[in-house]
Amino acid sequence: MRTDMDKYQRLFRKAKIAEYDIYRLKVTINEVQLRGFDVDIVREPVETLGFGMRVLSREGELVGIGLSSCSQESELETCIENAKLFSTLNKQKMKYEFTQSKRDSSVATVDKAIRDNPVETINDYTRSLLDYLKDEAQSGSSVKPTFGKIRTYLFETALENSAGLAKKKAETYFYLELALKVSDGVKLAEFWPRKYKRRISDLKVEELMPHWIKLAKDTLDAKMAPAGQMSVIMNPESLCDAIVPTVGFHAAGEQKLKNQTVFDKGKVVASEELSIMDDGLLDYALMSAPFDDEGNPQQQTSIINKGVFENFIYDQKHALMLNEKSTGNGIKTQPSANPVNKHTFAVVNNPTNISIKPGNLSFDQLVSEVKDGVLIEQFSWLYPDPFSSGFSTEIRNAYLIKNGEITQPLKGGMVAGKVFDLVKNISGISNSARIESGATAFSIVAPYIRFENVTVAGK
Amino acid sequence: MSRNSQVDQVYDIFESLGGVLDGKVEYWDALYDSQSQCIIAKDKVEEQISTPKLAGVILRAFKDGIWFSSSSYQVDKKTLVDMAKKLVKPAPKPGTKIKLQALKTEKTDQELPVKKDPTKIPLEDKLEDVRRVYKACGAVDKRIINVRVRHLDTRIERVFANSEGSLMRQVVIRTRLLVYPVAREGDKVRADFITWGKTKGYETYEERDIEELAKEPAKSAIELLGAKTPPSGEFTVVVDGYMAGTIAHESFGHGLEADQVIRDRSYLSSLVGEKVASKQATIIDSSVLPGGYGSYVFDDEGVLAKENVLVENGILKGFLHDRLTSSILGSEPTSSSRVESFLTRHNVRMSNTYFAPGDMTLEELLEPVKYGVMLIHASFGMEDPLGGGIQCTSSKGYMIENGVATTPLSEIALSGKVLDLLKNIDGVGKEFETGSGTCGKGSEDFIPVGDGGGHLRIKKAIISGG
Repeated sequence: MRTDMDKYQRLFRKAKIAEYDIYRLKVTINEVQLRGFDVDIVREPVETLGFGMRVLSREGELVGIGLSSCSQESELETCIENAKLFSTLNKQKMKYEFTQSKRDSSVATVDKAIRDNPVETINDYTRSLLDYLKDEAQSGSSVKPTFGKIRTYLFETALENSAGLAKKKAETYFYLELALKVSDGVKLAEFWPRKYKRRISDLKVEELMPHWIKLAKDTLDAKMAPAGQMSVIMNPESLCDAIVPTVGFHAAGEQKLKNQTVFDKGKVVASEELSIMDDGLLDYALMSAPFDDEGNPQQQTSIINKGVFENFIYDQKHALMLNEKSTGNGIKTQPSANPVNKHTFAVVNNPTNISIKPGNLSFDQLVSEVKDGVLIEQFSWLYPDPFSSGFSTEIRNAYLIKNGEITQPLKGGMVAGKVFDLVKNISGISNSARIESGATAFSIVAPYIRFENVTVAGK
Repeated sequence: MSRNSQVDQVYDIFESLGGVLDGKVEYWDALYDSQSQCIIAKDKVEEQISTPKLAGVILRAFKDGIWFSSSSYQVDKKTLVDMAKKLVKPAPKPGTKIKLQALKTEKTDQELPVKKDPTKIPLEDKLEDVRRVYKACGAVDKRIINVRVRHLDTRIERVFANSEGSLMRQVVIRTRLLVYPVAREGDKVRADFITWGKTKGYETYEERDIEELAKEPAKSAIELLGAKTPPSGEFTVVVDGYMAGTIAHESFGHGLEADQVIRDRSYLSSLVGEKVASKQATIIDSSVLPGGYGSYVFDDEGVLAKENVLVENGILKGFLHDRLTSSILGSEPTSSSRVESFLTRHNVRMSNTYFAPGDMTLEELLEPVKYGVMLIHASFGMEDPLGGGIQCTSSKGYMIENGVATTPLSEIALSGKVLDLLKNIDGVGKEFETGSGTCGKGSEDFIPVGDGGGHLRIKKAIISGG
């Protein structure tokens, strides 16, 4: 089969390179940003194309992997020569071979409206959002947007390698960020959410806004959180920032190889209520894809089952080095870097979508069983240390729970602890999960979870 | 100066854009952005060498109170002229009427000087340095089970042109080392890190003994294995220069970015000229700090870099501005408009933000503290421009007992209100240090910044442990 990547493959053969892969990424972004009720900036389109490549050199048991990337076709030959050179400099005793997998998993990742008509889609959404917020203002409410971002992405990826693999995928994202301010003439308060979805229809204005406006308004009357050990219910967004960088990190085969994980097969690591899967195949989840960034099919892998650690997740390299099979967890990742440049990133052994199995309690039941506790709607910046799982984060938007009732809005004060202690103190999980992104981590499918004996530092 | 043919082509293209845009929009500008990096990373399993490259152009037009922008990786005349033609289409719906103030025409072609251009250092030599650092760090203790070392050198070349006739070029080179050892004892795994980065060339690694530098986080990670959980509550704290910088930047500086003011979203909007901090506090944002990781020649709207005093002896002096905010608020631009790359928008941003040094030694700061907490090694912070809340976290600390740092403590977060914290500063150290890092606007658009200062002693600070 000839592909449009053949011309690039010829360059590797011309450079006498036997083992390589080449990753081509085209990203198209369209965006409107708001300043108050006004349009601040229109960005249409923002387009980028990039090539990332890996070249292998072998010498007995020694293997070198050279990485290089560029953004112009005219630079490809230099880029290939660089990768070839790098692969000769960093040879080490390790195993690697490019995947030959022809199989793809089937999963939905594209919103046709974003792919085919992004400008009109954004304009319609912006109009709808502003109309809703203007109606709210005209009804006497003091809630108003201070800024907003309405953005679409189309990622188009092609991946080929010297082992005969040739794959393509398309993915869409919709990003909404909005700061809603409320004032009573003296005090000011804000709710500032950020959300990624695959489809624009997953963030319907009329479904989102009532809750967001309520959160902004309630925060005006917020008090600082109390101090002590108490029940804390975290929403899916907060769980994304808590669980993905800790459980996801320690579940990676890479950490097993480096002796950096506290997980072991068969070890009890959480309460019996908790089951977590790496689910790379849930339709429209944020990290779902037919194949990972090395070409291995994504899949579902049980990580924790009823509190017991079951399986590590693997990219190609760590699977080979530990005599396991890839679980489709080779993801191009770089901290604090823009994912539109992911062709430049190295492949990292990371989770796809961390999926937490729902429990059997309704949300109301979860709350009603709490004597003294806190319901978290948004932390300031939950960023646990991946090794220790320790964190300490400010409460931005939350509610006090007293005797089974949601009462006083809260802002300020800290929630602190270790995520690995939290997951051993689960007393309830709600019965429905949703696809969410966090502030610091990207993708989770999670319900609400109630933790006990959590340290809250307030007044 | 070494302008290549690509840049010459960019000059030619930019000079032709006026033919499409002049007179049809109120203002336009174009920014060519070329970024090339060399990354060498090593840990116990692998070594990685990579040289990512990005290049493209942002074209912006201002009309009817709205910015219209388009970006492309295709840097050729046809593409950019077509982009420009699309920008002159009438705005679908005019926004608020705003007139951008005119600025003087600038012509600059400057490369920030480096003694040792990293692009001229052989890869083998860089790799050897990374291996030396890895070895030195790992040799500190048998409980160090892994060390991640990452060398990064970056060359950013930008060409700016606008409808006022400015035509400017700058080259900025940065060099940075990250050392991240991991210690393990039984089931306890702890890590710490250190970074050393400058807007300089490879001579950055000659200003400190990088092997000795690498031992510091290893000793710290070992100490963290036995660290206690910090107490929670109100304490007198002493923070190191890096934590001071994080407070200046995250907790305070973001509220001074004037885009938040024109959005009516800054708790500092009405406080210019007012006392917002102890008189011992002077806070500066300077894009001309020699070697500062956030330094440059001009910002991404073509305004020459400068030093901006934000707080002088406790009094708030002013905000950080771009062209739009300075026009709306009647101020001068402060050279604070920055983009992450040609793929992101211009935002008002900081550069190198720091507390000016005081006159006290660390011993003098600690001496009167009977029972307090010391916070060192800033790990991150988060802004709260409207609420004025604070969240800055250190990866480590110590109890202070009778004027002496004693028991090691694990991760500690500062919380409360920024202005309360700043007003409670009662001592500023004279040992000035600035760190290197990246800063996001919210949770995206990451740019290189520096921050720092001297040690600060702060009364009644609210802390909690992780």
